[in-house]
Amino acid sequence: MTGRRRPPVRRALALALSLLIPAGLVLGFEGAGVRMTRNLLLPGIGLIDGHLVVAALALAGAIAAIVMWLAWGVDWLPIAVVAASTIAAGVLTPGASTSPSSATDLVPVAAAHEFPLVVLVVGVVAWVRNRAARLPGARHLAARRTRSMEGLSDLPRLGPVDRSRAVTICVLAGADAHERTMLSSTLQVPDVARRARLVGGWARARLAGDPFRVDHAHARAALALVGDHAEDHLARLAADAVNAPAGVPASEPTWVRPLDATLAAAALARSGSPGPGLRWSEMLAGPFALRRGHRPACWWTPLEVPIGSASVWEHTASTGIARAHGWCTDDDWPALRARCLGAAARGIASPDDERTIAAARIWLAFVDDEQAARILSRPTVRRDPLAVALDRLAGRLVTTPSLLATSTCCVSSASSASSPQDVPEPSQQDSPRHPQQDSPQDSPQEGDLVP
Amino acid sequence: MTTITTSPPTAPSAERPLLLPESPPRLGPESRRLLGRLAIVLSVWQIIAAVLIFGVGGDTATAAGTSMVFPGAGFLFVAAPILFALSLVALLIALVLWWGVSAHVAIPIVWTAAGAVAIALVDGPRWFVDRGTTWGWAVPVAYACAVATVGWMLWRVEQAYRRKLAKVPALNEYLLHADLPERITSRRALDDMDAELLRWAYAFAFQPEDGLDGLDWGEQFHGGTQLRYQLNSLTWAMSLYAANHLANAPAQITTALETMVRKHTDLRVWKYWRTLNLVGNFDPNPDPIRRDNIMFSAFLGDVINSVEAATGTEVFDQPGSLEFVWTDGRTFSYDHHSLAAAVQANFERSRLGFFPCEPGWSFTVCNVMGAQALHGHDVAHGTAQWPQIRDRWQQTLEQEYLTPDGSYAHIRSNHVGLSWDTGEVPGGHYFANGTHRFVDILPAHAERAKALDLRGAAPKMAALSSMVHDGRLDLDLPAELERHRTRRSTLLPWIKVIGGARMVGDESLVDAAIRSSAEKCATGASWPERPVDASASGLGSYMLLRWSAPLDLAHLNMRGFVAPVGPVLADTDWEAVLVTEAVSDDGESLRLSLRPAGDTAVDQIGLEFDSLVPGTTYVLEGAGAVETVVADDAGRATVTIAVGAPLHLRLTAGSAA
Repeated sequence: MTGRRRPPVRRALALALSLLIPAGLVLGFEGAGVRMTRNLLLPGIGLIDGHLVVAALALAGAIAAIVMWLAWGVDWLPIAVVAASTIAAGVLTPGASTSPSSATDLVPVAAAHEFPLVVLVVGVVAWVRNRAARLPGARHLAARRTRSMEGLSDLPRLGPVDRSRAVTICVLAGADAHERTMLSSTLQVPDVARRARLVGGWARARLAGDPFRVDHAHARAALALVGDHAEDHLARLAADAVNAPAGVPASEPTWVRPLDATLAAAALARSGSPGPGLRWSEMLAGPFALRRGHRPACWWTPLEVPIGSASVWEHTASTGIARAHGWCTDDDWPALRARCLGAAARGIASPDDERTIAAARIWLAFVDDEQAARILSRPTVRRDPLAVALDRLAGRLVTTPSLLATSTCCVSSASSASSPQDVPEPSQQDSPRHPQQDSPQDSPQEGDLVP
Repeated sequence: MTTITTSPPTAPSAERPLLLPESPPRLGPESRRLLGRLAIVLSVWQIIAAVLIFGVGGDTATAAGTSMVFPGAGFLFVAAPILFALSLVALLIALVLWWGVSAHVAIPIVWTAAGAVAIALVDGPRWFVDRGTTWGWAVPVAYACAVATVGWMLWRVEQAYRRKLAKVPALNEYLLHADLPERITSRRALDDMDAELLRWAYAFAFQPEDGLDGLDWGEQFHGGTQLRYQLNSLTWAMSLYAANHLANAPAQITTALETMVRKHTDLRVWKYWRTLNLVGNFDPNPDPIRRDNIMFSAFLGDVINSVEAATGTEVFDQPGSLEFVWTDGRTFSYDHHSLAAAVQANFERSRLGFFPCEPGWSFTVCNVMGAQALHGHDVAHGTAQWPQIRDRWQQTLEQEYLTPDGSYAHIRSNHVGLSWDTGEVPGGHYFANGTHRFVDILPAHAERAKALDLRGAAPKMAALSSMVHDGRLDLDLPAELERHRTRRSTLLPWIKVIGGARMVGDESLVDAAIRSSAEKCATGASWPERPVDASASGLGSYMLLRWSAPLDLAHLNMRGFVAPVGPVLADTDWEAVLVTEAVSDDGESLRLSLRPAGDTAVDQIGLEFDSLVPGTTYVLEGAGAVETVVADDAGRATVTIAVGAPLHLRLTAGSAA
């Protein structure tokens, strides 16, 4: 890693602030300070005595702001909402003293800052999403749009993010010139740039200029691979990657998401530069490492902390593509296997399952798992364009496992390499693993990435 | 093993059907034990109720006791008649759930919950009457309801028993002299409808592996839309086509049948079982084969038997060839052998002798299928699983399920020994069921059942037979509701006519009904729409009946696989042409019918023949064309022809080259 990162300092600073601000509020403003401190823990709670409606609005506003922050990187918004509601809690709720009677009363709020709410909101959103998906008919409703899709021909119907991802994956799978033209046209639709402009504007006040000059890894990876200005995009992507904490641009300001990061690294790797791939390999072995069968859903660059667990399909797709490049080992497959087989059993009714199935087929190019291959071959991936793109890539990798192999090799999560010198020799040719392959090579070759 | 006492082998001769026992018991030993246990539990329950009412006394105890005497009667005691009516409605729903989803605790829950609420209301407010009012007359009314209910049930059972018993002498007299018709074994001339049905079946089989288009969708517990039975019937029908009409061109239909068997492992087909197992057995294991669920395991076993007997495929004999994957990725791997072993283990584990479909409910038809599954596996693989359980199985059939007139109860509870008419079959009883109707597992019973069925069917079929003119049965039969009233179809009455005509052995009536049904019920639609007006299950039954000669399912499974003799059409462009018949009548020549698979003619197509006599000249003739080829040293030869319309060809050996 480069020497410019200073996460320990930032984290210490954040910790100190989260201790000092509540302490300062309590000590400096007594009762009002306690309410303000409580409000930091849960926005709105400091207003609950006497201003119930305002308290509810503050809580709702905080949740909305956090959702917007998580989705678009609008980090100033939750800070503003929490700060405003905290000030309101101090100003609007005079009256009964709630001064702490002893130092122990400070303990519950000592570490309070907006982060617990973030964790709570993330958890609740994920829980509600998962539970809702299991309700009778909910999957049916959720998948109603995908049901009418017919693969890549419906690529324009995907949102800008998933469309960009699908385009990148199609190019990785070896789209021909005609297809590249078609793929490029789907990126020229105004909504791709409009989203980038909206996100940049809200999150970082980037109101003018090129909306793709920083972040937006998904769209920029795609633009760097297809279109008339692909080389320009690629050059700017490479330049941005050099300064990015993760070695690849973020998806939205401050948020690095594994699939977008992998695709961005893949796009950069096609230019022949090993740097981004190496750094992303380090990220996969470090902050994005597999823990209890899951990889993080995202990584917040200011404090360099991983958050949440990636959805099954995103985990499978990002690690599958990373594995194809040689940026990670086969360790993910045992963790993913049962979930992928479950998706295969459920079929393609849900787009998430369809993507999981297709992504799992990428893994089958590298792991020797005949039973999984049989089960995963049952569903026909044909609806969701992103799933179809993943399936196409899987098909290519099954016949040519070295299709995406780069000169960058994976970094073991157990002994993370700290410099390029520590990295083992690269794999030039993966041995085929899929049982359907006709290749006589059945055992790992020298330099193979299989542990 | 216990000897059979209720149905002695009283067949006067090998040709005569088995006679009915003249003094059959009302209940078999296991049913008696189960009902005795139920009676003891209910008696203890009533004793406690009596102690509460007459011993303890007081409003609360009387409310509790009255509730125990009859479900919901406590509400009458606490002057809440509306709640009493609601509790009866809840009891009815619980009864349906008991049968429908094996909710064995539903009735006890309703009963005790009604009692608990009644107790809680003793001092509570009332509608229309003063707070705390009680109606003492509710106690005798509760006893009257209980006695009336039990008395009515006993009277119904006894009346049915005596009515059937009175028929026994006449039935035995009939059985002594019954003249059973021979089974129709001549091969029908196939027509355009057969080709359309085969085309549809191939389209179904060769859709993407996860495709179940063409089937009817609906609930999977008891309705007429269970995917499993639809798949079963279509696979059986295609097996018959393979054995009877494509024995000498097995390649395409074998692949089709293998994919259809694999479709049984689709989660949508067997997902229902986890709910039933959880509700009925309190067992969250979703494995559809391991425990109970004979309606799936045995049927699938029998389907594989048929496919193996028709095609000789050994795909499903390989370990792990049947993989059932649950939503969490758990995989339950089986094959033909382990499937049969699971069925046998369930039979051996069951105290009743028959094991359940839905938890706690053992159906005769499904257990017949279980016996067939073991018998067919024995035929295919030389095992002896059916003989190991046959005596006990037969004992259960004859002692627990048989009623005096030779019919068998459709269901019985493994927990309380009760049977009732579920409405699925007329009267809740039948003389035979399952796809083989005892023919393979208990031939003498099959003869008796056939004779008893003929008493009703023969006169009707004779009347219909007299209406056959010019090879047609010019009837306009009204559409009927299909199984479980899922839909109406005009084909269903024709299926009954064809089935009845097959039973009485009236070949001209069979042919006429088949021809007329095709003319009157054809939709003109193509895949995925059905070529005839019927549900998918109805379509399967129709194909089964059309293609049941010379081999029907029972005789196919009794025969097992026999490799084709004579020339074999080994390969061609199966997607371009539809081979509708490939049969060697004499073991030397080949009768071949084919037509374009699609709407367009095929200019040139190669037909690769195998199993020819090396060095012999063969002549392929038909439709005005003659092609001559010489078989190579490996007994192979290829002929190229054009297929513009349905062709009926004959490949015959000429002279040695």
